[in-house]
Amino acid sequence: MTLVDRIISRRSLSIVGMAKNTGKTECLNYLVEKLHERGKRVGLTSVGLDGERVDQVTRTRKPEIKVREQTVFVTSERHYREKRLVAEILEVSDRQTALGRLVTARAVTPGTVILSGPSDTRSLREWIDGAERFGVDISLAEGALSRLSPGSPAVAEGLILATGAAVSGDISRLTRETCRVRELTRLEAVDEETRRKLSGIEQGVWGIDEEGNASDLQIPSALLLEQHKERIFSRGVTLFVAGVVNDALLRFAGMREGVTVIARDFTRVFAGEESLRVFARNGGKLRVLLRSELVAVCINPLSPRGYRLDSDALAEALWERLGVPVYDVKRMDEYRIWHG
Amino acid sequence: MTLKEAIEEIDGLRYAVDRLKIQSGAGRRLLLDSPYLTTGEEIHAELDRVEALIPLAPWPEVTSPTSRVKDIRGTIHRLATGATLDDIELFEIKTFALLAGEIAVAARAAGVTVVQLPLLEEVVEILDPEGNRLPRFYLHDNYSPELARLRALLKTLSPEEASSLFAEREAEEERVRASLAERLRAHHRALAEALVAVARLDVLLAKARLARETGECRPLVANTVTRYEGLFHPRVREALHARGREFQPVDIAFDRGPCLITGANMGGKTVLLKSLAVAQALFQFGFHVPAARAEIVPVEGLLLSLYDGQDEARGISSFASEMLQLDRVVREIKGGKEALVLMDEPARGTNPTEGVAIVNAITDLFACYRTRSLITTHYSGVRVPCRKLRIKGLDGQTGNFAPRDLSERMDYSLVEEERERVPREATRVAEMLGVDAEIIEKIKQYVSHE
Repeated sequence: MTLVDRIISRRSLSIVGMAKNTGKTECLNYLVEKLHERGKRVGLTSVGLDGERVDQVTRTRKPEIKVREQTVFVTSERHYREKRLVAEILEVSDRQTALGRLVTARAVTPGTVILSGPSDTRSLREWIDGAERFGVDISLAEGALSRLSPGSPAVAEGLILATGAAVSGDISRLTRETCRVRELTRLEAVDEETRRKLSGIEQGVWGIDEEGNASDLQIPSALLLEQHKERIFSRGVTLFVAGVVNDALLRFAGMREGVTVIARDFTRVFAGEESLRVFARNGGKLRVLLRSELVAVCINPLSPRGYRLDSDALAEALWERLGVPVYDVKRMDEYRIWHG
Repeated sequence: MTLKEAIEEIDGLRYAVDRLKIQSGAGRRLLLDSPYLTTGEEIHAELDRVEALIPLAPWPEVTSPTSRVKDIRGTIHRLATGATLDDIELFEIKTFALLAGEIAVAARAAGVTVVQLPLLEEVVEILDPEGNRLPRFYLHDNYSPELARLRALLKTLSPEEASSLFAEREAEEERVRASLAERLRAHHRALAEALVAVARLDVLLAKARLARETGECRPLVANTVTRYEGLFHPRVREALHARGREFQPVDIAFDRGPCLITGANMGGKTVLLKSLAVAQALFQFGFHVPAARAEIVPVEGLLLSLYDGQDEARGISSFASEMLQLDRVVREIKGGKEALVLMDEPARGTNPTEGVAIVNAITDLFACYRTRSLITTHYSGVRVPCRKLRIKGLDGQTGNFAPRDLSERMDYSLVEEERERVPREATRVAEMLGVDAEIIEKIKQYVSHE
């Protein structure tokens, strides 16, 4: 089955890179092209940092995405003016970003554009829902695994993970790293009621009592745990961490029995295997507010430093460890199938 | 003074104004920039406009498109100054023209005449070459045969071959934008007027809707006596409702000259003055007022000296700040300003001997200038002849009750105080609160010695 066949009936999908140069853009370009051929109207957005922040943090420009006629995309005013295509403006948002307001437009001719979508999860959700008004069948959101990103790629139904030689030149290490992320995407989601209660919370560590009510423990971030140790279980053994769930928090929580830690989504968990094991050993449960299904893994065997991994061996290894279909971004049209 | 400035100054006015359901950013801006109306004619005319819309409120045919109107005054200004607009700005103008048209049609159908909304059909035509009236915009091929030719050609070329033609296409697009801006420029006044008119209708409709939903009264413009029946303070009333309690509305009438208001602690003197300030301000900005009935004399200025407890936070002695405010009030009065002065317990923080002298002096001066003023005080011994009102308070109440019931037992209505009497309210309140009997007894002895 081709990657397009796997995703064509979904409404929204995010494409997340484990590192730069893992082939996220190629994967996105490929899907835009193929979905267009199949008569689907595509919506395009990005998750997370707005364009300028990306420039500041990584010192690189965001990539230009190739779009086709009828593709609906969202970007900042500045990137809109820099686009290389003819487009029809559908909507201009009220909210200001560092690069101006957000412009939603429909491509009239094919061409390229830099995406810059809503940065927070709620606005992203609204954009994806609103895109249906403009006739969009499937929305694709490009994102990164970044703890700095206010938005969550898990707002989309499905997830494609881009990995490859840029993450590690060693196949077994690359497989282990990818596997760790894959495990995190499997974390169970909390029930709808809890999700609704917690989704508006932007920061801090919260204690959840038996009635499911959240109260702020006044710990600004899990990174400052050491200074607030005595307060953490004052409301019970269920914690919601709006920011990053790190090693220290899990190790600390793991000292007590039967603790549940709720993270916003899998991208907020930055903890090593050892901490996760310590936490789980004492009956600790890790849950997420938003969960999306890992649909496929895309690999880029080429590293930005020039060496190339053996595509077949890498794909084979990933399929064995992950049990998720693997596609090589350089050979998308080969329709390789890495499972039985 | 604008409404924005008045909101900063008058406690409780923000709450009253925030109850308006304004739909558009342009409407909010216009509201906050609304001028303080000084003449009865202006106020009357504004209240007439509000009244004309009350039967139509909330009127979704207008509120729904209005809520989608963006404040595009920056874009209109750029158009007026000769700039070439970019696609985003052209989109803004087109969507605005469509929405303004929709609002104008609804207003005409309802026979609304209080606001004149210009139709922007020609603007829509310029920006809608396909005539489909959708809120979308791009530089359509119809605008220029050359643009259509270049675009068609570009489709057939490979990216390498196309790169030189891209620049040509962009240059042609820029020419089209320049010519569109040129054609639109003839309508920049109509656009600006339409934006103001839409904002105006938004504000008037919100005022009408508020009046309809709250049932607050349309005040009459009076010449000599200001008179309220059932006056209340919207924020305080809401806070009481939230605790399951009622606000006791007050009747009051006052002419020129000073009027002293006395009454027990917790008797609602401060709330009375704040209610009067909010109602007068709402009246001067053409709103209905929080009362069952109201006849109000318009004034040129609302001069307040209300204790807000903020002086300590600002690091000024409250007495110093009060005296400086008094000085400002007196200057305005002597400058001939027709004003309403509301003073809450002047000289409250100083010694009683000088305190009563200060209150006497203020009352004396206001009597000389026949200043429309209400002054609350705890001091007895104000000798200047003037009208005196007393809040009934615990009059006629017997027996003890729990401190939390005290405000329930208070009677906030006003009575004329014909003669000076020895105040006993403070003792009563202390007694009701269950303060030690021995000290109460001693207080009573000292009061009777006075």
